[in-house]
Amino acid sequence: MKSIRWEHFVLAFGLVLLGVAHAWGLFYAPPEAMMGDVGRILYVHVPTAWVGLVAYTAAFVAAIGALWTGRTGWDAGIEAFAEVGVVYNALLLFQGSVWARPTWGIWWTWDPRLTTSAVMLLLFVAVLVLRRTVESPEQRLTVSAVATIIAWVDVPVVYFAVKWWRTLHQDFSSPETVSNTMVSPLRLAAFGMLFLGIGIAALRWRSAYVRLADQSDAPELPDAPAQLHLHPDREA
Amino acid sequence: MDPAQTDAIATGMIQGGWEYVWAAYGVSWAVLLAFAAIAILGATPSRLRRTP
Repeated sequence: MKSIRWEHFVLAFGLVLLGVAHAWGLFYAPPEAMMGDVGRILYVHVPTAWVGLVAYTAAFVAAIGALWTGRTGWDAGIEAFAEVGVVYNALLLFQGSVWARPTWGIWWTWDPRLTTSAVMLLLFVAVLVLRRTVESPEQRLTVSAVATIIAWVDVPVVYFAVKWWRTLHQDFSSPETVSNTMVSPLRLAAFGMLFLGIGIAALRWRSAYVRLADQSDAPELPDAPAQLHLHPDREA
Repeated sequence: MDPAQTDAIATGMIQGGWEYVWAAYGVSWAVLLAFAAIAILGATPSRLRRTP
């Protein structure tokens, strides 16, 4: 079995892109007009948010595939993408809180964007916990796929929260809303974070698939005494 | 104080705050590198070998 896989290259490429983008954002990009140097958190916060939402959406697609086909590969996809989404989501909340303190004067507020993001984290953590508590592979696939689809409903709510409600959180960050001097490092950081996420998710998928396939192939433990009594002649 | 800094203060730009920037980047990089390491170590050939 090969020890270096394509996932390692994608992961390393993501790290390099992210390193270049963050060096650009931290040391070469201009300070933000109102937030000053604190505005540089943009280059880590926004890509984390985008890729986190993409990971949850990939978990949602895997959940539909798992329900449709019943295959272990899709089930492993739910686990891998939900894990990536949860890590990015937790980082997102941390970065947002650190950014909020110098700009809003508070670490946390029950703003719609923040609240729905926190709910999204709890929902997907619940999906991962649920997967650990259900032992039967078939039941686990069905239950976690349904739970993932239910949890994903919050993803578009998080995305559109800044449009649907009056929020303290700023509007979408895009080339239309971000200064030209900030677009390039932001875009590079987004691609870096995406490649890193793909590499990690692919590796987590591979290890989850082997573990789940092992569990699915494991023979049922025989009810030994009953079988011996029912078919004594077969033992001869 | 240099003129650029005086202008920045006059416009209401937040001054300083690098400790928040380093905290956000430092923790993010640490967590992402740890997660990448866990993913790599969890998918080594010996760990991916199916149980007979």
